[in-house]
Amino acid sequence: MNDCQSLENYLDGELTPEERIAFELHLESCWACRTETEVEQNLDQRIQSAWAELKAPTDVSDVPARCVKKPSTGTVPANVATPQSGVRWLAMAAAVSALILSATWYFAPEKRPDERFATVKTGEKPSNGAPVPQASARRKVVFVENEARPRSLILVPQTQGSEGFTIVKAYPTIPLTKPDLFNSRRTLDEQAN
Amino acid sequence: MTARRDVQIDFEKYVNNVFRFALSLSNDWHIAEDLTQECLLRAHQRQHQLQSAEGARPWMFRIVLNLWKDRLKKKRIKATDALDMNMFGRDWSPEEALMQRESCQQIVQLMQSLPDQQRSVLYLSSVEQFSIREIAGLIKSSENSVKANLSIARKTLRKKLVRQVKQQESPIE
Repeated sequence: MNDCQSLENYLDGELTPEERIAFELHLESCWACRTETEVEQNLDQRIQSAWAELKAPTDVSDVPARCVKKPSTGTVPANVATPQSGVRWLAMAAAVSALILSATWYFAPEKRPDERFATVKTGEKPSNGAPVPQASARRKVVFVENEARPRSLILVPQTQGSEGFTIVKAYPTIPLTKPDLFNSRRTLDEQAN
Repeated sequence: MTARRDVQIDFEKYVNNVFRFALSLSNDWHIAEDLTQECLLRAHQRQHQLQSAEGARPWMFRIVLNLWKDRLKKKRIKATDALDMNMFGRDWSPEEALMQRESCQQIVQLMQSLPDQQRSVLYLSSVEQFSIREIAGLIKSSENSVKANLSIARKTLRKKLVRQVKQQESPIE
């Protein structure tokens, strides 16, 4: 490459150290390249010094400093999740799941019959004439009337030939409905008339 | 991850550089201030993305450039043609302003009259002393395109300077 053609690369700083030295030697002998280089370097200096006078207003950097909360200790940036925040999230998740579990347990329908009905009288029908569950060879139906809320229980033998029974289902012999206020009121009205 | 967290950079020391670059892009003092503030805020917020302290300056320039492009897209604004030189050196004392305004504003004004691409390339090369490769990476352009833009910008600026000097020497013509 002709030395004069390297002028642009020289000005752009694109030459290798060896090429740079060779071109600077060429500059000593080539008046045109030297003048061009001086003009360009002078222009760059003028641009640099002109822009260097421009300074940002003093309040520009204040706002971000106020907005960004710098970490007080260490070098962890504010927006990076810290172990403490992870633990906090874990604790919150545990509390919420505990709440959900307790609510489910509290509101869930009772699956197992009440153990208060362990003492029963067998072979008797409920006094109020409620429907009776069918007994079979594998299950035994008993009626419980010694409690505030009579129920019929289905019992299944615990093991083959043993005396004990396990309560598998209990349901009321008296329907659990709300008091029939409308009918009772009408009855009272009829009686009054 | 731990290596990234250890990077703690004082972004405020690049405020003037960022402001100047924002001004060279937008040609508007108020927009340049906004861009600088937004850049500083974003730099603080995304500090963990920065691999090393050496890369902070070009990284901030990249942020400013992206912010400026976003503004151009969303608000459909354009860089103003002429820079309001009354805002130039408003923090200076009256003596300072009188001494320095004349010399600075001439070249800055001429430079700001160049097309956007040429102006930013010339600024990054002449003022910030970035290499061609660094500029190409920063503005996401090819090295050849940067070289061409830089060459045209220099030639145009020289022509304009010569014309202005001639006008000053013979104001009657």
